[in-house]
Amino acid sequence: MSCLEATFTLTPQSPTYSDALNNYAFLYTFGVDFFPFSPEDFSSLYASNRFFFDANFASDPTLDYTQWANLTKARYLQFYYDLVGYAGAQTQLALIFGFDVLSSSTPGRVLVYSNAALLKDQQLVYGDNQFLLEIESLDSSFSLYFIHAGGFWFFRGLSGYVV
Amino acid sequence: MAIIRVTKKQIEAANKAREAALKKDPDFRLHEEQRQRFEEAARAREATLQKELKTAAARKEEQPS
Repeated sequence: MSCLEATFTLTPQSPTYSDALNNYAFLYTFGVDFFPFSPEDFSSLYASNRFFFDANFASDPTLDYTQWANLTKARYLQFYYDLVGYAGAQTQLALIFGFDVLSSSTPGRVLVYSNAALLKDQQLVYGDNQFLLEIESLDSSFSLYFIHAGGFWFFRGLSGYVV
Repeated sequence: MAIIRVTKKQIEAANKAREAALKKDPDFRLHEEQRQRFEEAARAREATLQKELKTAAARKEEQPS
């Protein structure tokens, strides 16, 4: 069996993608947490190439994060792409969001937003490590926002597959 | 595994909402302009790098073995 190789993988240590076809993808991060102890300290997180989010500093899940004033108070990851070089009638992007949850007692919570609406209130379950976004079109650039809304969890990265 | 589907319609609505927010909110506009400047600089660096790689590859091919 052969596995499909990701078109790009964005991680804390490698947050940009570009290619000769003028395609780009970027991972922005606005607010993460560090403890003085492993594995949530800076050195351990750097070594494991992850971000850590603390439940006590989660964003208010009742706010509307399509509003810039609310977004500036939130902790979130922004995924931006411009993959017009790949655009075609049947071209889509499969995007894997990778994570780990610290303990079984507190699931993580991520609100997935576009600029127009909440797309999904996603629970991050202990023992699970990814969820999938199927993005139907690459005809224009686009941003997704992943708002930290609860739990103690690690962000591992985004892998994009142009299919 | 949980699957979230993002349709072409949702992408179009998001881009429309973004355009409207850029007009309405000067703070958001400033942030987006700054973000774009950083991205353009990154793209320019990448273009230069690709050009240099091409030139280096062409030179290597020209060299007699």
